[in-house]
Amino acid sequence: MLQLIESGVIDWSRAQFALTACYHWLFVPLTLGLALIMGIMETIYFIKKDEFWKQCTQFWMKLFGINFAVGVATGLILEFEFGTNWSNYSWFVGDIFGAPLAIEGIVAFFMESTFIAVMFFGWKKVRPGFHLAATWLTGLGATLSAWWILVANAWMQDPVGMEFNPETVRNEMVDFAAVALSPSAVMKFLHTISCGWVTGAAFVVGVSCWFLLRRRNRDLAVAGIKVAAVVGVLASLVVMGTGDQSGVQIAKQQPMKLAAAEGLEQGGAGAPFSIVPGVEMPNMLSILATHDINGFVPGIHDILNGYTTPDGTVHPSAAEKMERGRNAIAAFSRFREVRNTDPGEAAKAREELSQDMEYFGYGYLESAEQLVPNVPLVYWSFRIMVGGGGFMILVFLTLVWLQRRGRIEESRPMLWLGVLTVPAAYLAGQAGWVVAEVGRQPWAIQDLLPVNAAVSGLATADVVTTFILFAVLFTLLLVAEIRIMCRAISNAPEITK
Amino acid sequence: MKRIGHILRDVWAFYVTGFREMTWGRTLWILILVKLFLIFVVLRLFFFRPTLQGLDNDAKSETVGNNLTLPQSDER
Repeated sequence: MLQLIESGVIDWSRAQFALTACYHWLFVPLTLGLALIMGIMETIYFIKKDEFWKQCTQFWMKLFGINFAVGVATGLILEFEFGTNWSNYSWFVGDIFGAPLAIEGIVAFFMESTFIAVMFFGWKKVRPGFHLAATWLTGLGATLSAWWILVANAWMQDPVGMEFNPETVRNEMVDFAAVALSPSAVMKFLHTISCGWVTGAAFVVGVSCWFLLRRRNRDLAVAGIKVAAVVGVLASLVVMGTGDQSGVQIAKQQPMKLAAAEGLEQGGAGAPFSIVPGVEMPNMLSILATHDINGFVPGIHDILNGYTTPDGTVHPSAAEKMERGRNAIAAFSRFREVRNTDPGEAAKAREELSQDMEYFGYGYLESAEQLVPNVPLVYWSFRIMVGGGGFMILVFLTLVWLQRRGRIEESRPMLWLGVLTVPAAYLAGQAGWVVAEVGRQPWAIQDLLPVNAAVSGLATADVVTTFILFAVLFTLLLVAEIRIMCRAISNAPEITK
Repeated sequence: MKRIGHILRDVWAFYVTGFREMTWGRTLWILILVKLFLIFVVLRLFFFRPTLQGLDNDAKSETVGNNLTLPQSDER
């Protein structure tokens, strides 16, 4: 059956999922980031009882509402795609995906829908303390909702806490804590959430700088920069710290992704970090990947041909993994044939399957080269992510410094750079997801299920049709958001201290 | 019981007043409703039918098992 699936279906299904996820990720980080900044501003209002901070909160809350309204439910389409385009995958992952997404749905629905109403409708109807709690709980609801989605994503990159049941053809959760609190899940959550905070900070900084460039809404803008630039600096530090830890994890669990992100053909001890092609920092990749100046980092060819790390761990070649994967699939097939007729043979087949299960997905690959993701795309996406992050932290730091000295309005070039943090934040965030997802190809689930086995046997034309529908629908939504957002920003009330 | 009814009435009034007093929020609600209609009615009903829909769990296992094992791995 798998051989009959056209490669066009796989590519278009991947493109469709990527398109949906990319659009969804335009809305989510701003929700997370603005929720934090609104919460901080309202807390200042609550403490100081200064009406100015209340009005500031209400202005940014309005922009939060626009983004939330346009973005809400865009993620649901990803779940539709799981069922339609990725049916083998959806069934194969079993509880691992179902439980986190079910919890996410319940938490998101009850927390966000309850507290967001209090946040928007309750200014004159509930006590300030209760309103403040509702604002923070709206942000917490969005953050918890992201937690469960990211747990599911982290499991696809690092499948722990599960056991494959050949009877049901599903992965069954054997250790919920191992899934929910795996180091990959924790680090992915912190990295992604802090990325959202940076995006929110960049948005507030960008809009505020635009106000100052237009010489309007001065107090609102200065207050915005005062809060958001500090949030931006602190969140960027979290992004850097968690990014560093993610790098170490990826070096262990997904070495091919790291090698692709570096364009590292041949690895070794004391591996250099490529800044751009031809410009390298000696030993830096080893430091980043292993926290050891002479740490061993395998390159693409090492991974394909097999290698032994300095501690003596042998990593089999791609050919050997593919052979063991084929053995696993053959054992799985035999188990299914005899499970109802020959219990002894079925038990033997099951035992053989468990011995090679860790390489199960390799059995669906036709050549070792399929294990290499799109290196230029991953390489340059990584540089856009890091470069964008570096640019933003420099701008945030400079704005904090200028704001403390009361000179923020004097430097127009700096204000323009502040405006540019908005596209930089979105570019860096999107590029980060490209590194994470394109870098782990061909896997839908690392080592267990490649995309060619995960996909449904649909007609290419059907997938192309839905791809175009999505592209049109999401683009309309984006245009609507930008128009409404721009109008709300243009009509910002003149708030003075 | 009377107290619960009172609370429910207050909550209802809170939402109704909130929606009535909305200005710019009305545009957003229209946008949300149109979007939800497109997602749940148009896309879900006409374009995104789950491939395994209508099968019970045993049939789903059988179908996916077949998808993942046929043809035999030796042929690849």
